[in-house]
Amino acid sequence: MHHVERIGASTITRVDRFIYAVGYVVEVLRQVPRFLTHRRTGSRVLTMQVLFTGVEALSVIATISLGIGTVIVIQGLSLLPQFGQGRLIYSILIIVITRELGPILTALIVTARSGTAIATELGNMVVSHEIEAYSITGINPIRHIVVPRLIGVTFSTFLLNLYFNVFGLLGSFVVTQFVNPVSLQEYWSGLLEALSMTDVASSIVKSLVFGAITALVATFHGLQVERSSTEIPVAAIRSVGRGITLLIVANALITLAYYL
Amino acid sequence: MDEMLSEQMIAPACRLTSISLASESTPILEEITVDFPANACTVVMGPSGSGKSTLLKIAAGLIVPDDGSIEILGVDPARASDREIENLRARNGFVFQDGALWQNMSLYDNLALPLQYHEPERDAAAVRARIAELTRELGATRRLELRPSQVSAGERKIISFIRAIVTDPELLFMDEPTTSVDAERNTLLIARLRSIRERGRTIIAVTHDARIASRIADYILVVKEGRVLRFGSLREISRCADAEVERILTDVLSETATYDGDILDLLDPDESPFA
Repeated sequence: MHHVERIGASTITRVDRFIYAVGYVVEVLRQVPRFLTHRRTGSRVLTMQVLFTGVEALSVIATISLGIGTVIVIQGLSLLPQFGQGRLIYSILIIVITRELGPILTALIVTARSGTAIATELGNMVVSHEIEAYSITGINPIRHIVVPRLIGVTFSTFLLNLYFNVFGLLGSFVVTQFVNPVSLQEYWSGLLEALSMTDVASSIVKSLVFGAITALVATFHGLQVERSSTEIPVAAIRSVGRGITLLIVANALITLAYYL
Repeated sequence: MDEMLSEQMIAPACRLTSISLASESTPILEEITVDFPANACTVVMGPSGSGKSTLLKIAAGLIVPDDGSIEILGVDPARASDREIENLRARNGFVFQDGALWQNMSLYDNLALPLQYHEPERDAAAVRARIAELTRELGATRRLELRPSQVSAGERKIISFIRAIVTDPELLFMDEPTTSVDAERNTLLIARLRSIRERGRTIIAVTHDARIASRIADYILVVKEGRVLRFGSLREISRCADAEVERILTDVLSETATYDGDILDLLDPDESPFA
């Protein structure tokens, strides 16, 4: 009976937390239009977020996308021609870089960099009563702190995904010149032939959804800190852990929807 | 009509009814019922850990109590819409014990944000003028481009005070507003508080500072172990015959006062050396 009670209590707690998290997401989304019509005071936060998440991550994204593009081209060009399927390299590049790895890797990098930073920053703001100071001043903390981060991270993830694609695909072209030289025109037409609008749409939808997940999870866990600074690293770790889990689940669902 | 007017005039600025709060089954506040009079200054006093700061945050609507109801400037925060809450907050100011300045902004932005948010009709020059007026009057730093972490605790406290009054709120909550503030600025701050009170604003302050209590308090609320021990006018409390109240006030005031003799004289408006 004791175990049953414990399992029951734990289930109720989990359901409560889930409902609370859903309520949080609804409240954030409710505040988005209000932020957009009242953004004089929040635009600075938004700009700073885009700068940190989007601009400062460019070098990391460039290095990773270039590296992945290189690996795909080298592996593909060494294997595919053996089966007379050399042109499949273009489809593989599009599937791997545009549709799958671009959005998810970009989101994972954003979660690792910006997700932890946001959770830590908001946790510190709770402990130092800065969030209370917003509330008592009549400045809605969700609208002023969370919404600009949501928009900034989502927009940045979208742009970084675009950047990942450009670097991954162009980097592959540069590497191709060393392995199996082709003209830029041929390479480009091969990519365009393999690329469909659904690939582009899937990539865009994923990057927007992943950006929103990253921001919502990070802000949620940052604001879950109650009073002690020792809760802050826990919030940051949870933010990354839960963020990655949700990203992978969302990725699987969107990919599944693509094939349905 | 006259009755309505007189009712409005005597309506409390903040009303707490049967407020109780516990933390992990340890009671912090128990059955607190207080009407904080409008257009007057109430000073909350009590030993450390008696629940004064929590009481202040509940009165300001920052903490939701386990039981009881709150009414701030005629609004019940538990039943108000988002818009009503926002309008209510725009009429309040709060000085936090630790300043609670926004660390990712300059001192200037800390002061400008409430004005930009609640008074969007003010242009940048008007915001600058208002901030310049208050910082000059209260002797705050001229280096407002600095971040809060780059200035002293006393400077942060003064900036926090200015942030709370920058929109000229009707109701001002203060939690130890003079801690870390030097004597010269303390005098400027108290002078400003007096002028705020004289303009008919309501002040509710938690303090151990005898100067604030003696110079601006109209009412004193004595709290002990999460309960109201005594609430009355400054004169009533300073001449109270209750030995426990006397002992608490003596202990509280002796933390900041260095006077010999009867320390409760510090509170007595007729005897106070600060008056």
